Amino acid sequence: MELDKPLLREMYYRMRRIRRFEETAEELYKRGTVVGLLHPYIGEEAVAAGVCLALRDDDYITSTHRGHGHLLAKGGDARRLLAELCGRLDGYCHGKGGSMHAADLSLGILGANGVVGGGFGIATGAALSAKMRRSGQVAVCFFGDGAANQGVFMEVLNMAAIWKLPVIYVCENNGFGQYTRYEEATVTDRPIGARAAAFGLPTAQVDGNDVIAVYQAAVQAVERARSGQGPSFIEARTYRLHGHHMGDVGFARRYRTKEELEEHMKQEPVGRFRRWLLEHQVLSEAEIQEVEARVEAELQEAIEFVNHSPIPDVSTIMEHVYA
Amino acid sequence: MPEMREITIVEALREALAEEMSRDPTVFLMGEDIGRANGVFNVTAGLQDEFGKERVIDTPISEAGFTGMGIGAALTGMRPVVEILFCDFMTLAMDQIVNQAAKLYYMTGGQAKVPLVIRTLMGAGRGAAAQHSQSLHVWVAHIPGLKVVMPSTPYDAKGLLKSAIRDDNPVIFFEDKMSYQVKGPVPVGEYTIPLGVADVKRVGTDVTFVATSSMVQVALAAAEALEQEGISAEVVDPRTLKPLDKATILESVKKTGRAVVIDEGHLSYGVTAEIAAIIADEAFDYLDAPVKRLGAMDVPVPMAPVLEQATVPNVDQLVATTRGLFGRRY
Amino acid sequence: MATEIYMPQLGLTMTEGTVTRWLKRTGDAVKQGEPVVEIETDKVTTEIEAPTDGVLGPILVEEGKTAPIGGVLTYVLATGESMPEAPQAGRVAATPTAPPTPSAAQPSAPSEVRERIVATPRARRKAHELGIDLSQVPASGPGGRIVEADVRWFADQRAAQVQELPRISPVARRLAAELGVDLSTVQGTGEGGRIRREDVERAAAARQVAAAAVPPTPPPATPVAPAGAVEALTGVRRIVAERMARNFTTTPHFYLTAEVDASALTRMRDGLLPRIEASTGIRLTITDILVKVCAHALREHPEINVAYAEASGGPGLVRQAEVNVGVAVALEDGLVVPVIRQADRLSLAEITARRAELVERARAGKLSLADLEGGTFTLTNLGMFGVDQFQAIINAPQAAILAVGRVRERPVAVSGAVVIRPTLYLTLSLDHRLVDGAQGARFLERLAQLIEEPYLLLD
Repeated sequence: MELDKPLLREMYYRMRRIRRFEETAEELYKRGTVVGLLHPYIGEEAVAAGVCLALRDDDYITSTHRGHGHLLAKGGDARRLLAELCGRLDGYCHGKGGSMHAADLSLGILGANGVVGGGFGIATGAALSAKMRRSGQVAVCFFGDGAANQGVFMEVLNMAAIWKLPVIYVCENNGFGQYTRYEEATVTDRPIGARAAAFGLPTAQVDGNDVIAVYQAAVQAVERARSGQGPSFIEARTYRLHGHHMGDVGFARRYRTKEELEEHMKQEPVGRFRRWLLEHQVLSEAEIQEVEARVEAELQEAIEFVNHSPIPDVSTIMEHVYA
Repeated sequence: MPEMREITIVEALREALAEEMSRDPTVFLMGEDIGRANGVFNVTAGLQDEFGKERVIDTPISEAGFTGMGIGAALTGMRPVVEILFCDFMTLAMDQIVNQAAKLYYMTGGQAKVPLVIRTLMGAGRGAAAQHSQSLHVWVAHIPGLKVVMPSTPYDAKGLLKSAIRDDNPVIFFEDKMSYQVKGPVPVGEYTIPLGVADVKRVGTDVTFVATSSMVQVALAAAEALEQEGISAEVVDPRTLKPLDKATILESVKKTGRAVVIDEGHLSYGVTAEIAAIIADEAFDYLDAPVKRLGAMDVPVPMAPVLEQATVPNVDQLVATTRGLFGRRY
Repeated sequence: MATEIYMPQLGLTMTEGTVTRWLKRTGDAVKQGEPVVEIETDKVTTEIEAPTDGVLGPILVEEGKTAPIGGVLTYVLATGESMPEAPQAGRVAATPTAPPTPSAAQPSAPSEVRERIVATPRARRKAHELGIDLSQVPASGPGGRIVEADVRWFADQRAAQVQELPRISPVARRLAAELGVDLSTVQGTGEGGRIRREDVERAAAARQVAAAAVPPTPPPATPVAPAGAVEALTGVRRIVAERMARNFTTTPHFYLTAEVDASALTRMRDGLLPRIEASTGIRLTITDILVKVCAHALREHPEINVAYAEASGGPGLVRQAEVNVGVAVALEDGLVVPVIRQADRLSLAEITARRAELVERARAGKLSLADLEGGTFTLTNLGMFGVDQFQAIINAPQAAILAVGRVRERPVAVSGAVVIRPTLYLTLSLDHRLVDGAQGARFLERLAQLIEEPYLLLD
């Protein structure tokens, strides 16, 4: 897709939407309205937006425990997502799944996942299915630097390669696996992509905070997959600006310093892209604010939606155990 | 009355797979050596020739990976039948089975159906030792969202596998490796057996044997022997472990007043404990004796045949246990 | 491991026994071989010993109650052991039995010591359904449980005994209607509280019957019973009563009587008494000599030494190989017939000694089954009570019984003159299915001959 104004505006919209949604969710979490576990995607918005903009509506994605960004970037409904976070009946999963299991099968969103690496098999299988059905669909597997150390990653790389499956493995390297730094848990002589390259996959390494760079890499990989050339790997280097989860505040876990965080804040992708749009006169301030206002209105609507959505009755407990 | 013929469980399973693959183009098979090599136990023999490599896929040794892929395919319009050859290796795919397949439908509030069948082998008796001889069906029976099937005859095997494939839920289908050559009557033509329905394999009046998989043969043989002593045993084969047909089991025990549950999983914390507890709870006032259980000994399966045989419930044990349920008068 | 103490099989015909006395109480320490409980069958009273060392468990069958063969009476528990596979406690007795000895180290709570019905849930259901009191049902299940079959057995027994299951006998019901007795006010004394005729009679006598309430009926055929309490026959008496009735009604008796001259008999007794007393310490009696005489005669008349038996589809007999003469012994509460085995081969001294030993055991209540079994003929002597002559009831399945009265000086005709001689009346009762008149007469004739001319015994 050409990098025209509508596309770029759409990029900003998606990124801004994710950012504001996460901030809103955090607020509601602190107030006790959002319940359970919450893993904010703040700081990584460019990856989700860039990749998903390269996809069709019927393409598949699998997500992680930090999955709001992917779901929203793929076109998911902020109201139903927020309601699900609040455990409400009108949430995507009727309150049964929560943040880590939110899914929208109609948009090919095969679910956030509470198991690190849980999406590897599912995404690869979806790709197999697409190939068997000759549908032209592709599957994107979002995962983090931590998941790259799960054994099943190697298993699916191998099978995707030998069967030339239309799957793209997108590693969001946000620098941390929970409270452990990337470079402490993972061999860094080579990039993570070397693992994929070892199985013959074309690999790319991009600045994950540069939405255009992400987008361009994704477009190439999607094209490759859709044309039957098989799987690809993209490492998007980004940075997790907030804690691993809502309870991870301050520096108590000692995996980074205040200085480091402040340094990265200066590079944060949403503001960075906003500046870029203005600098390159793609959008005017007013146009940008219009996008931002649209986002605010959506979020207001989402909050209203939650307020009107009932808490599920215990009589629903046994529903959906079996189809 | 349809025409009947005697075929083995292997043949019955193969027919089921072939019929379902013919009937529904979304059904496909994945597993190690199931295609060109015809399957280690020949269950899938000829199927790759008939349906092609795309639908009968030989996988690398990556249980977690290809089970996960089966789930992904099931989520997106296909009906995969994944073979994990020995259920001992199911352990390698437990995250996929337990955390993903079993729960996706529920966690997504009914959006994500997983019409996946996992076929796997159970049972000791080949001298295959501890890592190739387990019967871990209770592991998966414990997990809400999974269905667990254990046929004991060719007739049951074919009808149940067809139903499992047509079921929209993840079904773990346990085949007993020592029973593959068991022959039995199977009708020509289309038929299915619904999941969750038990079968009374032998009618009796004095004691109920609830037996699964290969233990059904043990129970029938014990019943024959006991008949000579004037004890009439009824044999109930649950066929599906989850969901369990409690009604048939309870009806039988209420009639006979005595029950022995026999399963090839380990005795402790297993299938027999669950079924015995159900009987003790819901047929309490009909019991004339405590409910007894027979299971594999709580040891890793030893290799030497003499040792191995001794760890699995046998006819003599069942007969002796049953005798102990009757007093001097009766 | 708990060991059962159960009602043993003590005789071919035995189907049940009664607990007459517990010699040990629950919680008592017992040693192997130590008598624990006294039981009574239709033929014998005996003791059951503890099979192992241990502590006595709860009493499952109380004194006076019966249990069938195999029914568990109690357990011997190992120290620190509780009742085997005990289901939840059943009925608790109103008066608990003694608590366990403190040092017995029984971990079981004191409540376990109280009477407890150990029955399977299925048995409880059946008992409830049939209106049976579980405390009366003997257990045959593993672990000493009452199982459904026990309840059914009990119900069948009850039905067999009283002809029907209902709690009121038809006679009682009819009588109650005639007398206008409200059955709900009647206390039943039958098994399980069953109301019997005697109960209704007693109730009617105990109160005024309103004339208006009584429908016009003819006066009752039986008079109203006196207001004394009815004592059910129990134990040996009951069995004897039942057996006598059965014997008498099923065996076609005929009787042959002869008066024999007892001179030679008494002379023989007087002559042999000192010698026999010297060698056995026992005083020779007429009965002893008569045993010898009968045994000798039976050897000569094997057609009398037979027993009745059912053959396939009809009557039959067994020709006895031995001559075993039973001697009726009157006890305070009943009659027993210990048997002198192979009496035809015993000397008179031996017979005397044996007789005395058996009588002593009988009086002490210590007869064994062997003492009572195998009789082929019975001798009964009421002479010591001043009875001249009587007809005895045959001890089934024997073919005959000899009833002997007292030796008395009576006038007899000898060669046309009346002389006084000691005589003795012999009355032989015979089973006409097995023996005909001529056979019986010939046998009686021989008996008479041997008594009047005892030297013929030397033949």
